[in-house]
Amino acid sequence: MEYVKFVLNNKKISIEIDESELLIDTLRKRLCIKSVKQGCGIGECGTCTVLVDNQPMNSCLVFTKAVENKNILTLEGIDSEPIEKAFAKFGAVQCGFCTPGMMLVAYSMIKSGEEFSKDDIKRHISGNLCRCTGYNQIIEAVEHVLKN
Amino acid sequence: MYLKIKSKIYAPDTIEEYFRLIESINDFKPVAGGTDLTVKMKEGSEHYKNLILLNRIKELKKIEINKEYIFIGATNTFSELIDNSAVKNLTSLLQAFQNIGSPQIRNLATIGGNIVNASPAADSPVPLILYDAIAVVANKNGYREIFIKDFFKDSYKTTLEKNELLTVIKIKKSNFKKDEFIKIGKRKAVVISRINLAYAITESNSWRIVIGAVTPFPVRMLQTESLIGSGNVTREKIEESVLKDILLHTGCRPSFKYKIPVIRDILYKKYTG
Repeated sequence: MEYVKFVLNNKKISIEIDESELLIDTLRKRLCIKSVKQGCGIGECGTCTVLVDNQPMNSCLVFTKAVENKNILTLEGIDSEPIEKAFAKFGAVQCGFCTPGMMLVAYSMIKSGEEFSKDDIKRHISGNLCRCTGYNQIIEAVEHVLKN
Repeated sequence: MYLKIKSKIYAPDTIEEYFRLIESINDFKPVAGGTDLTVKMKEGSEHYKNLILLNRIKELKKIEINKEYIFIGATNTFSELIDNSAVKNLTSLLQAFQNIGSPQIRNLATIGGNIVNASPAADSPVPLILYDAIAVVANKNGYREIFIKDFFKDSYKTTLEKNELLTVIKIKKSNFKKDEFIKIGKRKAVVISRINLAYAITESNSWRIVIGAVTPFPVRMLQTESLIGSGNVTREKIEESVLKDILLHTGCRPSFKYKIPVIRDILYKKYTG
């Protein structure tokens, strides 16, 4: 067991972990951050997506020790209301399992301040699988948030 | 679901610290992004008592250019490289980086990890071999340089010794008229290559072709390069030379029924323009 320090959702935390613990387990099991989902466990589905220094990463592949002193954001820590409203408006949520990951990717795009085409949006969410919607509603919702 | 990873973790700050550390421990593995390693450890095919995170070592992150060479630190992530102007003119290399995994994976996975993991389907070695890129390998006493084309021994096996560390990839600036990377896979993203190929047309109009995901590690297709150079090119002749080039490195595999015609058609299409 050892202590690791990082910033989670804008709060500095210091937490005791098993040395080789993965970030997904630290977040879900020790910090009760349940928006981060356990999907495939091997970095293919994107449901475990978190933002590390505003970069989307698969937390199931990241050692918590590797993000020492970095800025971690999950859905619980961002102003998600405009994104949530857009997702609701465009029918981009069905079972909701992919939704936190999709919203974090959208948030990172908004935060970058850049402009994105529809193709850019598709590329950005290409690491997040959705079995329900067929993606179009998600793409439209993200397009809408980026415009406004 | 998966095994819990139980290892001791170290995170040295310098290359020197890394080499001091490995003198006192055994059963260790250096970790860059970890996108391949964590999966193997979870699935139980590999395990190590000690893991050494490389992400704090600044020397491994450097990207430098001089008159002759571009130097890429081994722990640069693919996202960092895609955003860096140093690789702007290395078209096939940039294209390879852009199509690895997913955005999340590209933010974590590194060029050094991709090379050292040595999957037969690895994407970045293919254009690196096209450019005759060099791996700069350090040990506690110094460095050695080896062409990346000579770095691989077998699938998932390189000539890297236990006490060595891949530090920099060195690429000589080239004057290719054109180079391109082509990735063939089962879908448009999060794809492990079924075939990957890079070709270049040099100043003297000769062709260089590197094929990956078909042999234990990526290789130049010298017969096919000659054939195209001879100008005497037909679809059938390309298929013949492609098969010859590949059989130099591996036995006949069931996948060839699919892969050989696809490689033939890619090359024929690129040649006829």
